[in-house]
Amino acid sequence: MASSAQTGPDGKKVDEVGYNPSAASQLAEATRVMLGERTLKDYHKKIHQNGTNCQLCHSGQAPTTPPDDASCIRCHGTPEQMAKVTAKLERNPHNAPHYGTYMPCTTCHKEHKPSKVLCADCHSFTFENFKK
Amino acid sequence: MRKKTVKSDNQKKIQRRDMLKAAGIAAGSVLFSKVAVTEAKAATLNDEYWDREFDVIIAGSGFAGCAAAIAARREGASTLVIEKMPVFGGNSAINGGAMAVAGSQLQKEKGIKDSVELMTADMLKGGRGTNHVDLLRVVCAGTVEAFEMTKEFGVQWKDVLLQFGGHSVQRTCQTVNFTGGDITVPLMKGGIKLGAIFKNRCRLEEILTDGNGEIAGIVVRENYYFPDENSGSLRRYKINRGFVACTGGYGNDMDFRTMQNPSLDENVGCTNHSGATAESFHALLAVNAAPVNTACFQLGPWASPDENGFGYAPQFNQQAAFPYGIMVDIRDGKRFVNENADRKTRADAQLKHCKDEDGKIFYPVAFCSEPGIVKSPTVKHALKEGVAWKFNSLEELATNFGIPLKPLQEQVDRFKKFVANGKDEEFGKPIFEFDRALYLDKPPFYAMRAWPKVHFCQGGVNINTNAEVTHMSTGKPIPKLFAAGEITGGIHGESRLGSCAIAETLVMGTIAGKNAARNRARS
Repeated sequence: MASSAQTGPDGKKVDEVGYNPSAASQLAEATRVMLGERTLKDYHKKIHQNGTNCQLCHSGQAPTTPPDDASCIRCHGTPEQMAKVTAKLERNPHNAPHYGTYMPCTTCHKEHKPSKVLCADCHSFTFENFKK
Repeated sequence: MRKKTVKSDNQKKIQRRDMLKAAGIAAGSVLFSKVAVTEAKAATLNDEYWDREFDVIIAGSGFAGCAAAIAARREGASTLVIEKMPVFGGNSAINGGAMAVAGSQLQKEKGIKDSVELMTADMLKGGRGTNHVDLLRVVCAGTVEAFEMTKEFGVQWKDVLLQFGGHSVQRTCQTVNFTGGDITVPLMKGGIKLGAIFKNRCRLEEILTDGNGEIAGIVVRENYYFPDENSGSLRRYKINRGFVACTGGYGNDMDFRTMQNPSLDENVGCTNHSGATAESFHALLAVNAAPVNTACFQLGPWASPDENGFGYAPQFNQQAAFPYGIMVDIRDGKRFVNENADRKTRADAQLKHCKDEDGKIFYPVAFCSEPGIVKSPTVKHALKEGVAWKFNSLEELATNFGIPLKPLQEQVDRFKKFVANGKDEEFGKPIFEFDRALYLDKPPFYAMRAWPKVHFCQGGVNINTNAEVTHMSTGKPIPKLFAAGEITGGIHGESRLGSCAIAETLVMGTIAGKNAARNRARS
């Protein structure tokens, strides 16, 4: 269960150095993207330089864990602000009666695999502007 | 070994050696969680061993977990709530928001006579007499206080009383949006305000005991990315006063569920959220918690085969179609059960009556007239999503579902007569005099198909009235181990009545949190 400290793709221990990929590992990552092993959303490509700037979202962590909401919030605003953006929808996904605004962005929004709304576990309604 | 702080290699080696010494195990490659469960002596578990420390740790953030957190903070204990899912609230957040209260203010205003004894008797009857009565009494006696507590934290209740199946009077209150999220969100906010820490994506891996069988702490997986078993990293949290397991049921754990009851395979639906799995139950068994009724699963008779999970059907059927309308077998247009009986009676009847010899299912149809749906405002969503349908004549309804019209018309006429006479001569369903205008009468009709889904785990670990978990061989409380909510078994016996889960979880969660925090002797 317990392995040694988490490492980035370059083999360096994250806890010690923070995650800062080398040019080689950036190239490797870009290759993974090209091969389709790592999916990327078109609308984010420009920001994370086609998947080579992991740190932008994953901060100092190895890109093996979902990013902290703080990374999303920097560009998209707080959950409360997002709730206002979608407040006019018939069902506001950012302020659902079940969870209020206490929902990590990555519950539904994924960068490296298809996004899926949590609501769909029980409900068949869809969100037109939700980017999969 | 991983710690939060970065250590020099030397420090790491020392730490590792200590750990192995403490556990008395020589094999260096043994996984540390296995090492830990080998009841290492408390004295050797020095501070280096632990990543974090709290007086009270609560696993699970549903009704029970939130109530426990509030109670523990009010006793002044440092309190952490861990939740394995990204969202808080578990099944509670998607529950129907209905709570049975014995002797509420609303009942008094409406002149409804109710008592703790009556609610206890109803639940005991529903549970087929197998309930742990001492616990049941504590739950029923605590409902008024628990209900007031929710209001204190801003939970908003509708001004309406309902009578769910198996209850002998109208005693069920419902939240404004008809969902448990109306309760879990304000209670969590309240808990945070009182100083409790709520940590999501943090899964209980193992409960650690010291040499005396007393709970010392837990192993958690931080940054757990459900359902990826290898995500995140392991940490040890020390517990000074008590660990409270509020981890909910395991209705969606297919391996465990089919092991306990092979007939409940993947073809049987489930109303639970995807995280309703059994690993926390396993962790409790590993520290010798006594199990109760593990093979007993409650099926919700009001679920719909036309949607996933809990969805909208349970609301419509419980609030409108079942109490004020009828449910018929589509092959003969006849009723086959008291639609307001307890859940087990109804689900058993559906499974028995609506299948042919080859096991082919003929989903029964439940419907009511327009006045009935005033009790179920969410039907508008169900209509839109193809879970419910509106018909302008009985013929239209019969044609749609392939029900023979003549016997169906006769059945409707018979039921209308029962309503007029105030007595259901076929199945003894209660007819409410004051709600007579809501019953099945004229078109338009609103209909849904109803089919049981796994809803609630009757089983779990055994607790006493202090919410202490008992040891499976000694029968005595396991020191510092508490539990509340669906993870516990026994309170509801073989079958739980609708709207008694919120009552139970809030009452027992509060007791568990309070007692864990008061457990100072050992801190």
